[in-house]
Amino acid sequence: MRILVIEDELHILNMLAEKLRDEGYAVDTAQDGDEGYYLASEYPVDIAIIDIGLPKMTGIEIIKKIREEGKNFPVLILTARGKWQDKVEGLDAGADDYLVKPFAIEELMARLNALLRRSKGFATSTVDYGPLSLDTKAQTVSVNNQILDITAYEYKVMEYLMLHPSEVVSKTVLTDHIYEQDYDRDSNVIEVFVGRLRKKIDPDNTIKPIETLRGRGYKLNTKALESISGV
Amino acid sequence: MFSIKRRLLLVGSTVILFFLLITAFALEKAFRSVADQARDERLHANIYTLLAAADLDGDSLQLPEMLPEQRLMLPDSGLYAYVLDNNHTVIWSSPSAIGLSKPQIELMSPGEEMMNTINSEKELQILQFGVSWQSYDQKDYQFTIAVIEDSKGYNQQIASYRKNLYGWLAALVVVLVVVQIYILRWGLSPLAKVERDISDIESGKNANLDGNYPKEINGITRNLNILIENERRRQKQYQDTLANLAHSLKTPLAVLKNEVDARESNSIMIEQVDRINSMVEYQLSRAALSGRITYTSAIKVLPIAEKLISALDKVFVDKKLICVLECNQDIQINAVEGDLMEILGNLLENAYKWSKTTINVRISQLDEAGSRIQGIKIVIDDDGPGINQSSIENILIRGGRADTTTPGHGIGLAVVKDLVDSYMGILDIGVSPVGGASISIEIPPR
Repeated sequence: MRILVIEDELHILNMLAEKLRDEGYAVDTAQDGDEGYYLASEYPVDIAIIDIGLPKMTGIEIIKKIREEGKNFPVLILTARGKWQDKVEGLDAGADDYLVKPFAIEELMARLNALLRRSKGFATSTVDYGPLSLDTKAQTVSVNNQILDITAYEYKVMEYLMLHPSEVVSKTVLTDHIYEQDYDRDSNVIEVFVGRLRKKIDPDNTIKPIETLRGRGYKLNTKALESISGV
Repeated sequence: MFSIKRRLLLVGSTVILFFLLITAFALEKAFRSVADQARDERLHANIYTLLAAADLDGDSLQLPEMLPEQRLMLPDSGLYAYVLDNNHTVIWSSPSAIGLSKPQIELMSPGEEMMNTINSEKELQILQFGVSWQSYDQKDYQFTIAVIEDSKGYNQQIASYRKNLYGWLAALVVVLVVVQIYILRWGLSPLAKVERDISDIESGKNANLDGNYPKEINGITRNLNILIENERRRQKQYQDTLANLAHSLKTPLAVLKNEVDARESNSIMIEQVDRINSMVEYQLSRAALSGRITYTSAIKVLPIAEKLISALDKVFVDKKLICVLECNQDIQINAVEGDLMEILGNLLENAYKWSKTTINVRISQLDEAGSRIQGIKIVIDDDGPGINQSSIENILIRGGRADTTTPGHGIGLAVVKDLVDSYMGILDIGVSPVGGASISIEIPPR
């Protein structure tokens, strides 16, 4: 998942970026409102953390503008004052949750997970399709309750596909969402990740959990998965 | 303390009364003097009439049977006359004096006269006048003529005048006091307008004193407007400074907290950073209390409650809670909007956090006869686990500080308690009908 963090305090920004990368997010960062707004409107962001008090453009203004542009990724606002006026203003402008500084990183991660889940229309932290199960909290993928041994990038690809089950996801979109802005991208790597995932989920090649739609991209084969009852 | 109007009315009425009493005294004295003079002239005129009608007959003085003054002819008419010779013998008395016991009459030398009052059966006014009559044989005979008038008529005249005088003066007092009341009301009406306008500011109908006032109080209203404006500006500056302080304190705290959490090396450090954090949070919230400051505008409660509920519905969407709000759209409170948001926001957040299915919010207006500013009652019931007794006591009875914290309800509820206290209100924590927490707040009318 690609996350945008807009925070003017460099220490907090670096700390957040580090923690989020550790958690498997592709992190884009901005230190002021203008840059943050540019990233939010131009990049395929899945979720954003926006501080309310920012230089150049306030967090509230950024949220209002991106919502006006039709961007509906979840936004979590950070507020130092913890005043209800700020929280309500932020939520009213289009934010989805708030967190008062200072916060425990675990709390932040839990909120982000919940927001992501909610934004994809899932009620719990696990997403199941037949024998295949994704746990966004534990960041694991399991088949028939057996947790698969997959890498962070493989997880990111699987998470994106499972959270967008009805969409055909192109390699570019996948690249955009799992890699950071200034990362050296190579779309062939995605093919490698998908190939490995297919082998790990379905070694006998009977379920075919990930369909390839030639020239368009990948799609989770929900029909095939749901036709098999999990163990 | 007496109002200015009452003071002016009291002083004005006293002056009017005092002035009219002196006037009454002077007028009565003047009238009495005129009446006395008229009586003197009348008695003198009667003496001259008698002298004109009299004629010497031997050594005695003769008066005709028919006298020019009719009252002297009628018995008990109130006007009597006597003529005495030098031996103090009455040689003539008027027919009107029949039945009247002769009063004490002094003998007068020729040309001498004396006026005196006799109080016997009746009050009589007597004028004695000495005359000398020369006979044809050049002999002088001395007589004393006394004309007596009953004072009854005179006294009646004075009493009637006095009655009239005091009647009119009493009417004049009433008229002057009424006129004075109207003058005062009109004269003091700009002050009453200022009072009404200040009351409108207090109740939030107006932002400042913007009426047309006379030049005498223009200075006061202008200064009051400046004062109100300064108070608002100062309040805003204060809040902004606190916001900046919060930002500059909490940002390094956030870094520190995450650094300490990440290392997981020293539990005392983690505990102490959390403690500093709670203290900063609590003390900044306390410092931000606006309280019932003067000249706060009245704000509608419903839109704020709806905004908060809609915000919390969004945040707690996973819990699928039902929040039932009972609040009339006219309900309002004189408070800083941020304060009301803190009260409702903290209480609702706790309710959303702990409730299982339903939250009931009831907001009603509290009014009292004679109060200029209305109060408000807020009751929030949830169906969560409730708040344990020791936490309730900690917050309500011991004035508990939330930095020694009550898990889950801590800082929020303590901030609400401080805010409610600053509005001279009451916070009560009980058990809701379904067994959860029931928080009730009353901010009384003023």
